[in-house]
Amino acid sequence: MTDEQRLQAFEARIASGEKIESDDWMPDLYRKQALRLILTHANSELMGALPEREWIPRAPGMHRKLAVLAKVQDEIGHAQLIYRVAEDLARPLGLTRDDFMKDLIAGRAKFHNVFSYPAPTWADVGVIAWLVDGAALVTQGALLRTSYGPYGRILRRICAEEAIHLKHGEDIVLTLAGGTKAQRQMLQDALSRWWEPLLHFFGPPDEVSPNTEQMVRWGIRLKSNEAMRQEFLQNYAPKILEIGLLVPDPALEKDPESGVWHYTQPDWDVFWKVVRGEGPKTKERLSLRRLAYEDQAWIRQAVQGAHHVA
Amino acid sequence: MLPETAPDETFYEVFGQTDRGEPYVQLGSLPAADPEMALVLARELFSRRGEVISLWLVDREAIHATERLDGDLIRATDRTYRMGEGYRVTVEKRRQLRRVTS
Repeated sequence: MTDEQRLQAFEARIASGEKIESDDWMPDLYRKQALRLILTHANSELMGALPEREWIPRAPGMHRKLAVLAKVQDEIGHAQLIYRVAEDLARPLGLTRDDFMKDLIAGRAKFHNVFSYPAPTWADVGVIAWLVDGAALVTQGALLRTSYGPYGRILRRICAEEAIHLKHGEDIVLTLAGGTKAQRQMLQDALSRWWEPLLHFFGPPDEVSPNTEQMVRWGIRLKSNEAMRQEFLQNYAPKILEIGLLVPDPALEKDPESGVWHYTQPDWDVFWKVVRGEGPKTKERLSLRRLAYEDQAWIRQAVQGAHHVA
Repeated sequence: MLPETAPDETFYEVFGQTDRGEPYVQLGSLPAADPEMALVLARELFSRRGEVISLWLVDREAIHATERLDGDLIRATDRTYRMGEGYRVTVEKRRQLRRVTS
């Protein structure tokens, strides 16, 4: 079979809804694009544990403490599962988990913008678990049908757990919303802080890069940035407004005819700054990750032998 | 066929059973230095909420796998004699027999 014939058979398989497995032939570009997407997800799970981790010692009460602890453990567990999928995909490229970790720590790898922001109050923990995990569930839910089989399979477990995180976050938010004036104010401030990063979460709307088009054509990813942002607004904006919170955007409104949510575009220069690694907490969180990686090297060696885990 | 692993690492394929009487289903895989550590990691990764009552770990190297089988090729030939649909006429045959014997 020539490469051209292989490519045709590969694309026909994807068009018919068949999944690609790690040992199937795939175009080099498919492998690289899928790996990039999957690694961004894995890095985000790992980095996403850090802002919430800060709140384990400070959570109000034993139940909340256990819940945050369990969520952090889930996120690290997700990272483990996803890095494992990435390892198989990266093997023919000569890359291992060690390379993934070193790239992340050196600031060469991507992770979601939201994990570059501080979580100064307990209300931030609630908003993160409800809305950041809610946003993640929109993107990961869309990826359940990804053409790359091993990723889609592992996402089923991850999405089920993210759905639990969402309930945990909603419970914190609703408790604060029904609390004292000071608690409501703390919640409002947290939402106001997170609104722009949440809109950034799905990426810029004018994504017409050939790279993205190819990824959609190959079914690596399935929905556009704007389609996912609209889904998020549709799912969460009414729930936010219902509990008396103010969204810091007077233009936010659903078009009753088209069902499309209108909103003020967030500052995309800020988004690109965070992508470049210049977010308010990017460097601090990465150095925390580096510290953990270096301090725990002896544990990895003891547990894993020569092979290192995240 | 499974991807080759480098000699210094062992990947374990993880299978779990959700309840007695249910089949073991592949859940994912993990790297570990030895089976004991693999079992500890598997419990942490795949049963934090008691999703399974039992786990099997298999060294990936120990798995013998077929190439992917071409189902279309098999289905292209008439195999209805192997399938339930090949015997839909039995109800009609019974009815005919009743007419003859009554």
